[in-house]
Amino acid sequence: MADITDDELLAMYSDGDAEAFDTLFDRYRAPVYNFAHLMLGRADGAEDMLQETFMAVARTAERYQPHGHFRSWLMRIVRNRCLNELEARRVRRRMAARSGLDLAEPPADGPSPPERLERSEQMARLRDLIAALPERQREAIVLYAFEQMSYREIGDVLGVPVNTVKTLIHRARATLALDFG
Amino acid sequence: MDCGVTREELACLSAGDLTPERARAVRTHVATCGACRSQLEAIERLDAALALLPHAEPPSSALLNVRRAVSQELRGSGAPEVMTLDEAAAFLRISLDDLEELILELPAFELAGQLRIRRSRLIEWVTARERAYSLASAQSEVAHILAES
Repeated sequence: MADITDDELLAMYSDGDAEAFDTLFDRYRAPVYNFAHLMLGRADGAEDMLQETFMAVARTAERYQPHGHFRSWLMRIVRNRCLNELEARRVRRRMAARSGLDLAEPPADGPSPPERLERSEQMARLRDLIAALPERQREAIVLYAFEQMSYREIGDVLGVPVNTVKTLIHRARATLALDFG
Repeated sequence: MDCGVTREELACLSAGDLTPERARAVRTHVATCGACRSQLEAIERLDAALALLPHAEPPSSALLNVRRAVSQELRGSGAPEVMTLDEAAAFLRISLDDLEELILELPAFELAGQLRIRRSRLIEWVTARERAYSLASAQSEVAHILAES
């Protein structure tokens, strides 16, 4: 199915071809998961986002209008879900702080043992620095650096003009460079 | 930096996003300013590190979990794809009267003079409502706690 476009795969799934859905999942599971992981800072949240995103794809397959921008559409879905989750976490944190309850967020995932072997401390530190960026800069730099999306595609995902995308990305790079050293 | 070139401009320069005139001016400046040169080198090191940063990989069970969830939600409910109001009420486990009170909010459509609801749209509506409720109840709890403190 390598030469079939994303739009065609979704149409095939809508017509009952379950394998087409698996192919789409295989193409995009890593970018969706990675984006959610960096936005939320935790693997369990990222798995939920991955599942919710592809369930949304399955739900809307019948009504999807092919436009050749499946990837942007998909990343918009995961982005919106991550923003909802971050907002819910903020509310929970405010509640916990006000009520004096000890409901602190679980810490962000450290690298698993095999990852520790394969990733240098520098890489782990860079991940932490990305996770500490303001939300909008974080999502822009992740789409730019990991997904190699064009400024226009990132603008489509974030719903902002290209110039704003450039500002977010370069501000993030300047901040990261300063802290990364 | 107080030399007229911002860190953001240096980031733009290394990405090729400055106008040719400004790029020339910034390059000329960088050639004589140690602080800016060092910043530019830091940005280049960062870009190299970003290119090497590995993707986080989802667990191998992820596809199975998604397939199971999709199958349960879209196919396993037993409800037809296009539902009557009675079927939608049964699907939501509320009375028909209660459902009719929500009719303006529901994603219903008219077909041959009767209202029908597509199951997938109804599930989306439920999900949106669930999220709104969850957020509103959390906010209301915050307001309650604030009022008490």
